[in-house]
Amino acid sequence: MLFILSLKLLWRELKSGQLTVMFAAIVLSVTSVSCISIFSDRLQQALFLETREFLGGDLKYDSNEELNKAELEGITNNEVSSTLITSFASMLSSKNRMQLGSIKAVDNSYPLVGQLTLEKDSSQNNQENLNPKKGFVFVDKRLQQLLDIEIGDFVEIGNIELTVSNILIAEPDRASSSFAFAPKAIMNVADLPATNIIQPGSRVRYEYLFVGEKKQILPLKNKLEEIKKAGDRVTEVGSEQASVGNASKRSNSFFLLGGVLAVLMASFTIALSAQRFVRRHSKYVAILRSLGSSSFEIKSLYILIFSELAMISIFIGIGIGWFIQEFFVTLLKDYFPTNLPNAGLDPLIISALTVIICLTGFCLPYLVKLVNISPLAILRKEKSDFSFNSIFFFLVPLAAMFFLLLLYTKNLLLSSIMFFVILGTCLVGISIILLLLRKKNLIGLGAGSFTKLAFQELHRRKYQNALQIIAFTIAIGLSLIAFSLKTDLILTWEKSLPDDSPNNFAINITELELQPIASFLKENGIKNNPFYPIASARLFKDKDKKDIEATIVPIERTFNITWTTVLPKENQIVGGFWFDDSKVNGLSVSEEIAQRYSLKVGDIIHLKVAGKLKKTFIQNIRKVNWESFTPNFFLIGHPSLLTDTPATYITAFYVPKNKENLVSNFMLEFRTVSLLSVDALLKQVTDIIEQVSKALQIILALTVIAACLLTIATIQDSFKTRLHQSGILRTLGAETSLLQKSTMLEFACIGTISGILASSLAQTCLYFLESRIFDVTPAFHYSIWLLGPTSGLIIITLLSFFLITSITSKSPREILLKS
Amino acid sequence: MIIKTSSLRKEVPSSDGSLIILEDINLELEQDKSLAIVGPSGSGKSTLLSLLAGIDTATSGKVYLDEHPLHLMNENQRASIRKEKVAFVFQSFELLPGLTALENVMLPAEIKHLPNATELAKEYLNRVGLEKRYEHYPKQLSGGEQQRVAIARAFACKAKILFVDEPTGNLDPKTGKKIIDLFFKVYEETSRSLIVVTHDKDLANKCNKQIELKEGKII
Repeated sequence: MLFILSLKLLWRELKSGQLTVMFAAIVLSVTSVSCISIFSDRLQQALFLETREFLGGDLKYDSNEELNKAELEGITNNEVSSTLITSFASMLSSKNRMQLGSIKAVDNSYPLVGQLTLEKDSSQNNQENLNPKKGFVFVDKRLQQLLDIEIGDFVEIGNIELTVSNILIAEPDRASSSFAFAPKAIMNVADLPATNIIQPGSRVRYEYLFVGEKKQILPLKNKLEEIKKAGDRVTEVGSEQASVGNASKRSNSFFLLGGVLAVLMASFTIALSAQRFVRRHSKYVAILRSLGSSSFEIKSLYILIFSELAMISIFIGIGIGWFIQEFFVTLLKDYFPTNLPNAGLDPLIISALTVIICLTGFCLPYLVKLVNISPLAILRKEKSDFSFNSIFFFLVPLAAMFFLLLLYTKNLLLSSIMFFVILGTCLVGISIILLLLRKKNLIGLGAGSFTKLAFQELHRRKYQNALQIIAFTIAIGLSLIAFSLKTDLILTWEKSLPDDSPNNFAINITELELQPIASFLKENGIKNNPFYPIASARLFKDKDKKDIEATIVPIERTFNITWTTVLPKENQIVGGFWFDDSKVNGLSVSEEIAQRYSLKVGDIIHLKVAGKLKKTFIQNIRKVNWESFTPNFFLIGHPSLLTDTPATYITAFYVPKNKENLVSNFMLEFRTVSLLSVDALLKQVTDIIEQVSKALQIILALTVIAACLLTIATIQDSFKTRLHQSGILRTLGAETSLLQKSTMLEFACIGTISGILASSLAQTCLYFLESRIFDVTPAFHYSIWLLGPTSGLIIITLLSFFLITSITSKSPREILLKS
Repeated sequence: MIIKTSSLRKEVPSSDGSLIILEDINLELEQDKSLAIVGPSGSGKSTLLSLLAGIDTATSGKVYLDEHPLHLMNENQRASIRKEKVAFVFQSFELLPGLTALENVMLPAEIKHLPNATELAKEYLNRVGLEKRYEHYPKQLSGGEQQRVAIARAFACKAKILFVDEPTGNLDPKTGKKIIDLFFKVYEETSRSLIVVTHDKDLANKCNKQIELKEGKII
């Protein structure tokens, strides 16, 4: 019986349009949550797969020394598959040419994850799970060109000759090998002893890759950490990500934030609509209670109505959300390594939870008030019994808002930023508004002129206006954040990759080649960037200053160090001072290294370069933009510290599309120099930015719709109370134009104040988001300071015009009967 | 004539097509005279009052208020006539809850741009015996007091004609009688026309003229 009554009441509410705004707000919040969380879930899964392939397995142990067989057998078991890659640099020779190349010797289980991509016409064999058999070698396109060889030709490596059987396009474990930049060859490890290349003291990297269940991988990782020697590294999947991974990760943050904004606004709309619903239903409840319905029956009736509303909203919202995320996937599908996996159940649970939290946090306090209200008070129209000024009506929604933020972003920092900035702006805003609208000694309504009437109304309704301004501030402010995400932040991201970002890195340059390369680039019209010397260095931390040799402790790995007096472009000093030629100079370390090894400015450090141990100190700590396509270094020394250190050089330069032949000419002219092209990677990242920008338009649209719903709900609430006043004033002879002008002026003021506050809210939020979440330098967003007050003024004034016109178009009697 | 109608008709849309509220209403009222409209509930008394005062429009027919053809005017023109010539007292008082008693009474004077709105309002509040209630808000006043504020507002309009809709409908008989006596005391002190809708025979008998409505027609 109750169920049927609840369905009837819900249907009547929906049909009459009384619940339209609340229903739309709930559907919108489910749509935003579901579309973004389904998309984000699929993206996370794809990223994990990509990272796994990039690493070549679930776990990697990287060492300068080979593990002995017993040691390896002791830490692995049958449930974990493993492979060993031996990487080194060596000269390769063909019939006519010689070239320095990077060689990977692999066993028969290679590759553990993914497969080698080979040139289609280069092999008659089945392409799947193919690796070089004994006596054969795969070479990449660059090496093929440099050695001038074809399939079936012989290539000499060390003391043996191997047959070229395939042309290599790509291999899965791209994160591996310190020689990855050089032209590449892959051979079978069974041929390695015969080459006689690996001798004591040879520079060789041994990479052990492991694949297995998480429960097997974790103890293995711990064991490897235990046996790890200085300079060895243990890398687990997910701990390192490619630039594309970072780009996708950052896009995900953009989407999440956009979604949060829409959900927050929808929640405020739900709260406002719930207030109106409760006011409207108070009479129903009073009548039902006076007719003998128990409190339990009334509670059950309203719980049923809202549960039915929630079910319908979840169903429709998830449906729309799914279609939108499919559109995102279509936009971005070219940038995922594989087809995106299907989403799990998590996004659906989060969407349903969002509705439950929204309704519990933003509706329940009002429903509790509704069912507990005195029927006598309602039937006697004692409005004092129907106020929402208990702390309960603030604390529960605030808790729900924070919980929603946390549940949705799973990021305490992001949630706290949004929560406290919104709360802070609301409190500051309310204080400013109440100060501005403090009571003046004016008597009467000021109905003599529209300006007086407008300003009297602003003062008279100051508490209601303050809340109204806060609602508009949130609607405009959060839309401005979404707008800035779409424009300014994307622009900042794009700016970090200018059109002439270097797309080629030249490494292994000898001192003698510096001048010829500089001339070659200049002759071909290529902008020359600095040449940085590189040497391999190890750091030792000073534990006891009395006896250095006995107490210094090696830092676990070898670093590439460069030396220069000029701070590289994409670096920023965050501690200490950059080198000063007039003083004694030391070492500059990156922020990551300083954090990882607990290094501070002023720490004494020992640097072992080319066999010599040098005592120096940490002079400064740098923040490095690793995503910039320029050479970046963990360690930079002052030239005085590294005089006479043998080094090779690195530089980066941009080759435009119409000069692509230049790359081959460069490689032919400077054969020992390794040239790495990052064009494809660069294009992938810039394309992702472009597509993310398109997808963000949809998020922005959802946010704007949420803002419109919140604005309409707020203004509708305000006009309900104006209806009665308008009827009386018009009966007393007030002209339509007086009411229209005064209402528009009043709302123009409200809109402008809301716009200014919204700009402050957006600017403050963006400051924290840029500096703490997106890792870009916070900017002053001029556009939002112009857009906030302007949009507030125009949109709110226009809306007020439409609503007051809809009131004044009715006869005074009709209005009085309605109100 | 302060009021003159001919063949006045009012229809409203309903589920069956349209519902006739008033039909063929012809009446006249001379300047400074009073008229009581009586009749059972639902006979169209309040609708007729609204049409005569220009706060609602007729489906057809003519209404003249102090020689002004309301039926030919737009809403702004009617508002201008109401401002100059009309005052209202409603059954449900229709005071603005956010304004004090004094401010509510000041409203018509403010709309008319009268320079001494406060003094005028105080004068009429004093006349209805609310000199100690200037700063009270409607919710702080009893029903009888609220109706007295509404009466003060109506007289403070200095209107040529007063429209009064069931002034005692929301009050107990004792208070109702007091209000009627007070109303007519103030009415007699000022010279103006009056049209009142009522069920109260005593009140109707105090008027110069009476008409009775039944099912939308004058009988």
